[in-house]
Amino acid sequence: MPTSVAEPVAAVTATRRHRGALVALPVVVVLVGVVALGVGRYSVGFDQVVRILLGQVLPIERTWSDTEAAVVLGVRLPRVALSMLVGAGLAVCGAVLQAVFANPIVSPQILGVSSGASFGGVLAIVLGLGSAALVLGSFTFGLLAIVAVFATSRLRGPTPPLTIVLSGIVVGAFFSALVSLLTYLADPYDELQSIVFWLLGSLATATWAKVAVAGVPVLLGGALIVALRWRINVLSLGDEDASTLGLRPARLRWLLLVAVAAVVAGQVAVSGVVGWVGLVVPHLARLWVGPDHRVLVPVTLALGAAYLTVIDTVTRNLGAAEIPLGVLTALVGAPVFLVLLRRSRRRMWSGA
Amino acid sequence: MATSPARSGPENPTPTPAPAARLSAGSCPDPPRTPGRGGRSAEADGSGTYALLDSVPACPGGGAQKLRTGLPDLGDVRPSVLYLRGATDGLQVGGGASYNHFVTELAGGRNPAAAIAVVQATIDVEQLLAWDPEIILLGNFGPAIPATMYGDPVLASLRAVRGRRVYKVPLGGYRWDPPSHESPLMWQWVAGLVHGTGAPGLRAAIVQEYAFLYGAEPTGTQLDAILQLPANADSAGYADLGR
Repeated sequence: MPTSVAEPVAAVTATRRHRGALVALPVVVVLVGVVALGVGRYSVGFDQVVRILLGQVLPIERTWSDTEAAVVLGVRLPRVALSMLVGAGLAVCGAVLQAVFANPIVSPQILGVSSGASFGGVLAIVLGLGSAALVLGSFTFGLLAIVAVFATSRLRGPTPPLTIVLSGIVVGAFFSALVSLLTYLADPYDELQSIVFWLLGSLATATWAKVAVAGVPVLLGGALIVALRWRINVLSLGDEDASTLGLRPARLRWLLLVAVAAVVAGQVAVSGVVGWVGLVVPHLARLWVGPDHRVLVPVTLALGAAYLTVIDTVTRNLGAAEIPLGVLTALVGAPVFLVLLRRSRRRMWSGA
Repeated sequence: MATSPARSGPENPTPTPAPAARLSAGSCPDPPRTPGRGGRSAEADGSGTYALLDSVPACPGGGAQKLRTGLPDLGDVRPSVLYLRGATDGLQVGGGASYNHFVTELAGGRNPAAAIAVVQATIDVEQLLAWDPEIILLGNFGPAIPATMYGDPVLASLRAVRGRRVYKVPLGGYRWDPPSHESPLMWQWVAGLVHGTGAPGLRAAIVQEYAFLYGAEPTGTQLDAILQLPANADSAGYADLGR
């Protein structure tokens, strides 16, 4: 008797938890966004920030200066929008890659996608092409990297997780070497400056143009991933089961990898290589709502957006000089990941 | 300040006197510090350059003292002068350990980024708005020009933008922003902007020093190019600068 009851009870708690997460997270994201808009090196009173924001939609008496409006709407708002896009995109890519490769320790950075994308971007800078070419180059070489990893690690059926990671490291190292070659060849008084700055990765120069550059691929790829979220569940059963259930796993996997490459390209184009978000956030989300991708995908998106916005807000408020974003994501991400790994090695993947 | 520092007096027996002895006299600012942590040799080379220039008789240098003569005394109201390296994809400032900080202080300005004790640091736009410098110098380590800042709606309230006091740093035989053999000319240029005197005689000084350094005298058009006249055309008091 107890055994037969246990199952539905667990299911009910899980559903309740899912519902809670899906209701609470949008609220959390909005709150994080408003707080991020409220703090910065140029001090604007929090009440003024709220009034400025409301003043855009409601006819409120204007109590703020032009500079305050410029800071909130022209400097902070695009930056917060960008950090949300980048964070959500990276996190959901991590979740998808972990499912497609059936491997808990992969992320865009570990699989070399980020390195491939940065090579494509650097190539576009060296050739003097515009920002559209930069995204396109990032996308092409990011996809190439991901396909290379996939081809080498799937040569003879399913492979142990570490082989995939190893393939990723090798592919990543190859593209990193190409990036080094290009920086070596680049004109030190012209291109090198912009390459180095771009590779370092920062949201300090967020503009609405950059939001558009990242927004189009991230939103398109993200929407595709969201649309395919229940199929990802089937895919993680393995190719044979997925085929039996009427899916075409090869085509689905391709679709997902293209979506991941698009999202990473958009992200790398505006903020360089940002590590750890794609690894840590999906695991946090999985600990919270479990491995069901129907819930996991939206939760990962929201959690990633909130996480990177918090990190970026810290980087721009710690001191007059900015700390590179990637430094802080690694400093926070690596220890968190170690703790997670230690605490819940079994639970995290038992139901996947 | 009354008498010029001894070039080889008995009280100064060292062959190359520390530039500190020369530059910190009177109201002059502290000499450039040799950066302690990971500093670049350019700074150290820079201080050597002043000593060298001062010891060359044909040079129009004479260090800071000559620079200071004829300039109005600003007292405590030193204008804030921010040096940006010139990139269009980020704001990289010269911090308190930079040579540019030294130049700003030497010329009578105040570096708002002085508190950042490094050579170079990246800041965000908000920090720029918070500092609200009166003068912005755009360096030659990137393509940024004053027009970019004048046209940016976010920067419209900045004092340097409202007063049209954003200037592209000149570029002669070498960039004028890092320390070089052309540095005394840069000091005069900055001093002219900081004090609002327009650096009278700078064009003649360039001709004179280039004749000494390179054995050739630049033409009027070449002087315009060196002083970045096209880029600085919209900036305050630039048409007559150096004349």
